[in-house]
Amino acid sequence: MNANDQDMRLQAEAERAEREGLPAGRDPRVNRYRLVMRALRQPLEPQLPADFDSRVAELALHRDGDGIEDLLVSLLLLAMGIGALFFIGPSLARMAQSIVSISLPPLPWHQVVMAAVCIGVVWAIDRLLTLQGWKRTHTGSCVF
Amino acid sequence: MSDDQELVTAVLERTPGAFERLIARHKALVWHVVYRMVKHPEDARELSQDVFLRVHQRLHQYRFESSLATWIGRVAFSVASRHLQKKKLPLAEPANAEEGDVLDDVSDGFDLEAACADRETMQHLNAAIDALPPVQRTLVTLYHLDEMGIAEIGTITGLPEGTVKNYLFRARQRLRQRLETRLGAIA
Repeated sequence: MNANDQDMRLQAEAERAEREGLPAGRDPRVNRYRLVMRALRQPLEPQLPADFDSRVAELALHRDGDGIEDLLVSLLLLAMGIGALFFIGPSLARMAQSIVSISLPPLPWHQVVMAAVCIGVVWAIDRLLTLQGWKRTHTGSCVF
Repeated sequence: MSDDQELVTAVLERTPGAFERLIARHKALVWHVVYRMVKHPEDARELSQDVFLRVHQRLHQYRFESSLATWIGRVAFSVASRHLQKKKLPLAEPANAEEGDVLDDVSDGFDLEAACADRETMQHLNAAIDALPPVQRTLVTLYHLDEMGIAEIGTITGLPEGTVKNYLFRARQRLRQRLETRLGAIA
């Protein structure tokens, strides 16, 4: 029997003795494992605060309302994006048309470019808010 | 309907007090996992809160394939692991890390009850538990304090059962060796 096998046997014996609440045996190696196991069963210090349950439950309920809040923020961002494009859209579209020199199919390119830039701006703002932690951070905690 | 099903249904139906009951029932497990993993009390409190907020948000995804405790333990382990990864802290040692001599000469006359009652010995052991790598620390706590089975611990940590057993064995072995450095002086 190698050393690890023997140690494994000692651990199993200590575990069984602890589970059955046997008095200390004669083998000091088993008794030392029993002491290790008793230390591992001790309650942890420190503990969570006493009001943890109620506080977190309340927080979770508040977060339920955040869905509507997020929707409103997204709509506002969309409106802001469209508003901004109203001013800079035509120049962007002209710029895009001058860059693309190949002949394009007859599509309303002006509107297509405007829509694409609009979506891009809204996505970028939303991403920025998320990265900055301005969305869903009422708890002051990380978003995983 | 099982206890878990009843509680989950109540939480999903927004029954007043149901989520608080769920927290009360599982906060010890979450605390054990998170605190053992990150060791820092402030961070552990914050992360325990995150775990329950995440549980609340994702409870509709729970499919009763494992017990609710296992599912919540898994969320806790994942949140704590990500926290350590963000801080670039190692989660565990390789499973085959050698521990030196495993069969030390142990002197006779070791009094289990006296050693257990000796505050300094227990403090020495607690310090040795704290010095274990995060995953090993968590495994021994789940096994000995929460009395979870190997399979359940494997589900929580995502580790194969063989690895869980190996980590448990090595952790206890290392603790016994640390104990011997102290008891050698008093034996």
